[in-house]
Amino acid sequence: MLPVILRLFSWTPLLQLLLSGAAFFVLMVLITIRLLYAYGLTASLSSSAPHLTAEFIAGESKDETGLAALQQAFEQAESISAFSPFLKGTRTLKIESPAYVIGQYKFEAPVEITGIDLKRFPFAIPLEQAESLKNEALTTYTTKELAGQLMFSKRAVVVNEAMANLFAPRPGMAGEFIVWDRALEQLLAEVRIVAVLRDLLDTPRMLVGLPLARQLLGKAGVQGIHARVSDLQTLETVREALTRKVGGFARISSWRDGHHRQQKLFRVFEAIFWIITVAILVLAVVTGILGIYKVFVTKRRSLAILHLLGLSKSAFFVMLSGLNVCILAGGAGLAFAGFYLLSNSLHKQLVASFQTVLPIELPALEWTPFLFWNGGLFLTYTLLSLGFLGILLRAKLKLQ
Amino acid sequence: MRRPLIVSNLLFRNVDPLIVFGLGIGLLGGLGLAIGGTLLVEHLMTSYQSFLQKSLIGLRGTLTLEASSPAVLQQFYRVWQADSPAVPSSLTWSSDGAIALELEQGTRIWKRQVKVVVLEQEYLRQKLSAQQAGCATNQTQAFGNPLLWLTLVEFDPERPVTLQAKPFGEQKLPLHFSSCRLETGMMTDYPILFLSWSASGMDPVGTAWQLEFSAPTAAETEQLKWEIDKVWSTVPHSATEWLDPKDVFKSKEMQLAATLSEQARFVAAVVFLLTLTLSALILFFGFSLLLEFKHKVTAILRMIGISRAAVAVGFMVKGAQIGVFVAVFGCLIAVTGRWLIRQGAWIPFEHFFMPWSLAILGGTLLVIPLGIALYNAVLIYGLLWQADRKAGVIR
Repeated sequence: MLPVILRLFSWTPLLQLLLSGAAFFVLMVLITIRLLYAYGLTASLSSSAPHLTAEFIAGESKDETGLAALQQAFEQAESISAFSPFLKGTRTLKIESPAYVIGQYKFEAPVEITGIDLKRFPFAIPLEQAESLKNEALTTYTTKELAGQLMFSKRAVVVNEAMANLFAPRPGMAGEFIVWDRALEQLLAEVRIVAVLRDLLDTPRMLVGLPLARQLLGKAGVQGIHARVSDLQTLETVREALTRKVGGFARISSWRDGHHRQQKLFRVFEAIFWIITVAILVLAVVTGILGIYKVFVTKRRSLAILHLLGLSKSAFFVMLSGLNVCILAGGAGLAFAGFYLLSNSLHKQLVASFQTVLPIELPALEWTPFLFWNGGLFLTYTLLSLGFLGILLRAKLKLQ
Repeated sequence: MRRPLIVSNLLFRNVDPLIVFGLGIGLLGGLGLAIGGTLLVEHLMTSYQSFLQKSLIGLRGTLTLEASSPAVLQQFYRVWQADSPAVPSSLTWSSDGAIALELEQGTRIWKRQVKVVVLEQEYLRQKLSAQQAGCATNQTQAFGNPLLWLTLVEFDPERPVTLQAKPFGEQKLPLHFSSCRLETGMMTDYPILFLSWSASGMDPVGTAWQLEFSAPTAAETEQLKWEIDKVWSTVPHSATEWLDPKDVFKSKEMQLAATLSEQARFVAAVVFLLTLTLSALILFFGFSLLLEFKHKVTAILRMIGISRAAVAVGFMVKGAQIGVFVAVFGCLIAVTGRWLIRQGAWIPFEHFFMPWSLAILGGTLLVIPLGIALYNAVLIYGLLWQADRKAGVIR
């Protein structure tokens, strides 16, 4: 009987195969765009920030036990490449060059001061990637030398571009500065600016070692832990795992939760992506409905004749639903094959152009989201076709 | 003209309710949704590109035109204003990097290193009303970006202030400052002071050495360059006189901005292609289904001597009618979708959406019925031709 059924439907299975293949393929392209574009955005915009932050819910703390528990959780977590306790705060500073060039290099503005442990390398914020200022020998520090300066000099600090540009004039060389609290006229510390970090922020930031941060902010404890992950694609997974472990006393946030323009950009992209995905999924389902409707409704007379000739409804149901599932599976396979051929071009378009700007790695795409979403669409199409088939077999058809 | 209408009426009368239901949902609903979805996606992606640009470069101009001399610039500007008054532009002077200046308010003096940009008040007002509506006032002559404000500790914009800087001569210029912080985007990490020509005391004629333009997206900036070339070719000039357009997206410091913008364009193009493919599939299934259901009627029509082309035209007429319906339905879906997104705050930024382009909505109402009618005619003609080839074969 199966050859008769196949002959009855002639070109239809092939059309359906192409239709379902197109729908699965569209979905896969959308998922890839989301993964790769989000990866490119995150990788390029988070290069000067910690990827993950665990902050004590109770606020700044000197409690060693709490910090030890947090550190242990980060040590055991997967994909964490570096972590460090941090202390952060904002203070309106007045900065001047020392006595011998008084009157030059003046600065006055509120500054966000972030202190991290600079004794351990790699740092939780990759400060060694900052652009070195010229030193006394009129050369710039290499990445290793800059890391060494930050690790071994107690006064070495990195400022962001916004802060460097607020100096009048902008410092062209690594040099000593005296830092005052502007309102209290109180001397806070002497620092040596060695490098400038490009973080695309329009607020002055100073990144320093933890002891110097305590001195500058007048605080004694830490607020939590900053960390970097080695694989950005695992960011949310690591975050969830850490929340499960330390969620009772610390709040885990990822780079994406911030409130700067970069994160807003990311959130807008996410929102748009979901709206587009839902719209295209609805379209794919409507197209699928039409395709399935066409297949079954146009053949209902032929099916009724076969039924009158003695073929039972259950046999029909089993054969047609089996054929349909096979077609859908074939469509999914076709989509996977097409996608495999095209994925390189998508990688190139969505990541390689970021690579010309920043040194980011090409990510290996995980198959789980593809299987999950395509599985959902497969199930939707299967249920729809079974529903149509059921209605069709129940309907009584008058044959003249 | 009457024959296609009669054929169309014959074809689409007395249709099985099951078919009307299926086609109603599938063809009309699906196509309406496809059109509405495509319109909404296109609008979202255009707004996203504009939002991206606002985040990256804020209110700064996207294209700056430099000329071989101020006189050449003036000459071009006069023709440009006559030809393309709708594109916001301004004669501009900007300092070469940060310059030392002094702002004085009562007994307090702020000595700072700031980049100064002088441009036309009206141009600034136009840009502000589009992006930072609350800031657009006629009186204000001076604006600062957030970084300038950060460094002016204890500065009060409400009180009288004077400015002194070398390019403006020795005199102290009285300024009327706006308390708004002018967004200059994430690619600008230095303080900028924006002044109007009247506040700077300078005369644009002979001083302005740049012409600044502001387009909402990188793609439109490209288009603008093309238009400038066209206008420049109509301006009489010698071989030694030149205009040099400097696209902000092509500068080295804006490489990331350019990359992000290019990516957004690529994503928009892919999404458009996907919706177009799905819409074409919906049309194909819908109309081939219609033909399938009406194959007896078409066979009778063919037997009484009506040609294949006349039947296809009959379908075309119906396609145009359906096209009008789905185009209106699609526009309604798109407008409702945008309204829902705003009401539900799914994109949590007040000024995210750009205004609807009436040309796109009007174009949809015109092009869709025509497109569907033609597609329908070609498809039906093709299917009938194929059926004729197979004539005599019993399914």
